[in-house]
Amino acid sequence: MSYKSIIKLTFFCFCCLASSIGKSQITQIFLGINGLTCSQCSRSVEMSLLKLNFVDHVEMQLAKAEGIVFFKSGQKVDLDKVAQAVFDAGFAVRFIKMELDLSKNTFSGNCINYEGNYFQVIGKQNNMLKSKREIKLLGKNFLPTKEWKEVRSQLVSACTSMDQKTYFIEVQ
Amino acid sequence: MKIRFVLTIVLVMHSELLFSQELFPHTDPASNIPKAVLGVRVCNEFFKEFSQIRSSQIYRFMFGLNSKWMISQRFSFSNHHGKTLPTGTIRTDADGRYYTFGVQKGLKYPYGFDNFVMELRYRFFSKDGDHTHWRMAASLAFAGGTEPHDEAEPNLAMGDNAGLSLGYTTTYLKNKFAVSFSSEFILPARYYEAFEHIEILYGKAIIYNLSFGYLVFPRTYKSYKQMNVNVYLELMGKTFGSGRINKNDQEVQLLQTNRFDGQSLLETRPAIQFIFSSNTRVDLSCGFPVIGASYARFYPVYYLNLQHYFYFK
Repeated sequence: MSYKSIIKLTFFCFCCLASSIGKSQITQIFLGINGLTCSQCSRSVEMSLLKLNFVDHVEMQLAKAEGIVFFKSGQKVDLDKVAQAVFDAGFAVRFIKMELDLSKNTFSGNCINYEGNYFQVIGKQNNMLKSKREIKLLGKNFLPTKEWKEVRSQLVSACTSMDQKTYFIEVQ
Repeated sequence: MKIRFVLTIVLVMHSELLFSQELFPHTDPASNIPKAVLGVRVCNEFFKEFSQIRSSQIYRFMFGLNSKWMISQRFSFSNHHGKTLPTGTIRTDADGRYYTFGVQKGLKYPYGFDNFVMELRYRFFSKDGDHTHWRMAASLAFAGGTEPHDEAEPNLAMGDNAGLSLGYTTTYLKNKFAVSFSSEFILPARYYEAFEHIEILYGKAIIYNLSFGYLVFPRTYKSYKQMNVNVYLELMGKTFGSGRINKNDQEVQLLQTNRFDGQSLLETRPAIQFIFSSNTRVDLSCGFPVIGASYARFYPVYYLNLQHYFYFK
């Protein structure tokens, strides 16, 4: 193998790796908001979300008190900041759902390393997750208080990491 | 057939009017301004007092510190008062006792600054659900000003007095309706004219308001560009104690005037509101007496409010 071929192969492998990393980015989430009562309130939530540097745009569904948040390509998404933005606008998160393509990710027990964060599956086996699935975030910031109280005893972190967040998820 | 018709109407209203309105023209709901948003409101009040048109403008700036705390600052201007009490308001009888008939209504005053009000609001309770919420908030306000208001009835928000107030609001929304109850205790400061040694003491007051809101248009939300039309009915109650005028530390006798008596009054203020681009708000309303009547205002009282939110990064 020539020197040039080795460089080409290395470049090809790098591109494949970069493409694989790109695919594992969270591109959008479905957001349900509690307490929304007017279009002005809905607009305030949208404006609050648009302040986040990783949010590209938001499509609010006014009649349903729901929205789709689209993220910028290549930017790390902080889901806690999304929930905080809703809270800052004066409202609460009813749900955050998203599709995760889990086929290219590594598992350790019920923990998935995805885009630099751990996602810990609650109540499902790993073998159900070897594909693109819709998941719902669980946690104090991502659920109405009543729902959170029902699941909080299950939300014990099993993903050990000093520098990465662990999000608890439920497969839909 | 009738039952089916009624059920259809109820279902249609339930599905289409999922949003209700709590953007009351005269009272603040328990919800606050969102974090880092500046709300600017201009309130205009007009009424006819004999041949004079009394007008009052309040410029209000509201800012959300976070989702629970907000601050508000009002500056009031009007042609309701002069800089001091009119000359000859307080007279002396043959025995050297002071008396007054009160300030004559219908006098012409220059337009000028009345008072400023700084307010801090805290939302301490929230129970949010799908298209519903129940919230409670408390407020503390300080008003400063030196206007010679000459009635027992104190009014901090509309610029008549200086003083302190402590308030409580609870707002509940369920599908079509918004209901809010607010109450406020007002501790008015005295008016004092050092040169004439005149002191006016106002009655302490309790305000109790009940407000209803209802979305009329659009029937279904599709875009922020849709104009919203909301109707409101606000019942504004107030009970206040008697006031007093002193001159040279002697109580001034009040003749042919009841404007320093304490009383309870209730006004109704129906309103219509237009919201453009889900931001710019125009409120039109009118105040009528139901029980008692304000000493300070002649009915009907007309209101025109304009409000806009400015969003910051």
